[in-house]
Amino acid sequence: MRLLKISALLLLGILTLSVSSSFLIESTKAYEYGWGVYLPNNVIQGVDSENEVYYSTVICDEICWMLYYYYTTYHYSWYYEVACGSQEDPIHPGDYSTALNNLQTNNDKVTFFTKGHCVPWGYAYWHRELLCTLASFDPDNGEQAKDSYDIWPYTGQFKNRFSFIWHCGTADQYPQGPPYQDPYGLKYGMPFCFTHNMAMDYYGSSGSYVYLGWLGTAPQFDCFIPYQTEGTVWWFHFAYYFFYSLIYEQYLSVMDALNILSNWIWDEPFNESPYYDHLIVWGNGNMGLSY
Amino acid sequence: MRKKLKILVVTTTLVIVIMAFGTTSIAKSEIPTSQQKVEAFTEMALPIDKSQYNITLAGYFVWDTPDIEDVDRQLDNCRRETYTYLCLSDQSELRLNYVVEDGVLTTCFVSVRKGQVLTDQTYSKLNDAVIGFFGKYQNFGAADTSEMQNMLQNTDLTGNQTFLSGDLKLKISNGDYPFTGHQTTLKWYRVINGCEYLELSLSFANDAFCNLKDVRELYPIGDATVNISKEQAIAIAMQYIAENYTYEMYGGVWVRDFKVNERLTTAVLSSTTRNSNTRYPVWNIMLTLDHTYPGSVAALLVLVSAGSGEVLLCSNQAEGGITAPTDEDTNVIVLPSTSPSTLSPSPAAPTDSVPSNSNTENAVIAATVTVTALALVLITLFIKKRKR
Repeated sequence: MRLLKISALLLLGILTLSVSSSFLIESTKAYEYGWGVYLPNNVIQGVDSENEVYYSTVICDEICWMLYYYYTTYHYSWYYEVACGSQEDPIHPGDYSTALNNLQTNNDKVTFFTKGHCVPWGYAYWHRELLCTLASFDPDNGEQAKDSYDIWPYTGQFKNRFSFIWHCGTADQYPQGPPYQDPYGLKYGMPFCFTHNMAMDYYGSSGSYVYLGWLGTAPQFDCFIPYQTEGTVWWFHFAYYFFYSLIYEQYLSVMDALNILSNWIWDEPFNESPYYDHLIVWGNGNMGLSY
Repeated sequence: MRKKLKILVVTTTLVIVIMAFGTTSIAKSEIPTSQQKVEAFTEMALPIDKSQYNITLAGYFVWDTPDIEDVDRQLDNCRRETYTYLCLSDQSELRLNYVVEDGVLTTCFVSVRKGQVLTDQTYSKLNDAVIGFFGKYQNFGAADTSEMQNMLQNTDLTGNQTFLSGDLKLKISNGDYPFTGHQTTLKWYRVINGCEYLELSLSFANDAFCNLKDVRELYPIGDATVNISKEQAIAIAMQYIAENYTYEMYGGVWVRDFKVNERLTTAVLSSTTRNSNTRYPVWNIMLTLDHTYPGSVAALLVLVSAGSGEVLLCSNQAEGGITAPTDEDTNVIVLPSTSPSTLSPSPAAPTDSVPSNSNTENAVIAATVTVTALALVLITLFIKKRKR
């Protein structure tokens, strides 16, 4: 009789496990790739010129369509978040948080591009914050997407495998050793907060993550690239053809794309160009958009 | 009847021959000239051991232009085609990337994905490897490189230095890079009236060919006259921004009246192909402003033709934010200037591996199987006991 009871209990356990496992598996069922393109233009503050707003909008829109084409052509499932169709999105830091959270919840891997402004904040200026549309430099009006508050908590599933954060100072402040946080316990720096990965090499060639950002100032799109031999290339062309190369040739990697652009613009490989050590690749430069 | 049969046989044969020729010619014409050029380069000039690699075309695209309105920001009309080949062997995996511009093969670079480049020949000195490459490159049909080769005789390629032979300048640079390893780059410039015109750039990483850019055929040197001095060019640029340059901000506000920090003004003479099929000299005047202007504009870049003094272009140089105070002020750990030391994993953060949801699923399945097995054993025991 005792055995029967135990057996009954075990069978009940099986039933519970089966039901819960089906729920668990359901909840972990995700799309293969997710991608997001964000463009917070500071039109209200007058931080961007009219041309800057125009070219940023056009190019980010093109990048959106190219990514859409790529992931629908080469991969069976995808999900995306876009905020570049108007001059106002994303208005609030929460827009970043929501997008990143949706992307990591719905996908196994996430590709993310954002273009805009960024300023230092926090303990000894270790931190960075992406300016949203309603941002202002002074006083702090709470309209900046802060690395530790608005990015870090929403990227904790380690899905952000391909990130290009085209804002100022988004490649620096990558913690080089423990404790990976400031004295107040806050995680800092965009590379770490987007990826949750503290082992990405400087212009590395291995691993499962790649993160691109700018050391110091990031050039704006509507600026002619200095000291080029080509004579007609603006920064928006650079951003456009970076993604264009990766999208229309799926065997190309991040470093291949940068080499193509560098040979075109400066007649030399990327590591000899004026922007090596400025446009930084953290992680695996051999990665392309299929990873 | 026999005659008819003969005619039928001859006609059929002719049709077959014509069809065969037609197919051949169609098949041949399907390979574009640019691809033939690229593959000829791989065969004749690329210094890798082709016998050890399985080389296949992996991708091709023509550069499309973004849909923009402003004529001033359009690219030139050059047709650019990119080819990518996979090179696979047991020990090594490479990508060969080529760019053909207006039918001219200008760019080739090799990226190593696995192992090392298997070269077709081993050389005791890099000089010999470079000269060896030039020999093959000539056979491929490239423009003459004998002048460049002459400069390599008895030249030390290990340091960072510059050599001049007549009006040909050779700049040698060496560096260690995390991604490629040790890289030596040789650049030959034709120097005319103080302006340097790049002819050819060649890089070797870890003593193996890795990058070529040859612009001699695509963009020959045109009118190299320099009539405008550096000081005159700066004056022209200053006058232009004072009288002509303005840009629009949100709400129809136009920004003008720029003040320049003259101490920080720079002027560099270089070559350009802007609005031209040939290269000509241009002054790049970078005017750093006295403060950041609306639109995050910190400087203005003015291109002044060194021949005519015409202003070819003026572009603001805007930035995406402000930078932090210096390290001394903040004790911040910033980016290392060279590759960082090896990082050890922290218990607080993941290493560079991809977490998988399948772990959860596997655990659930394993638990279910174990419990089921246990239940079955117990039920069997119970039944046996009852039977007794």
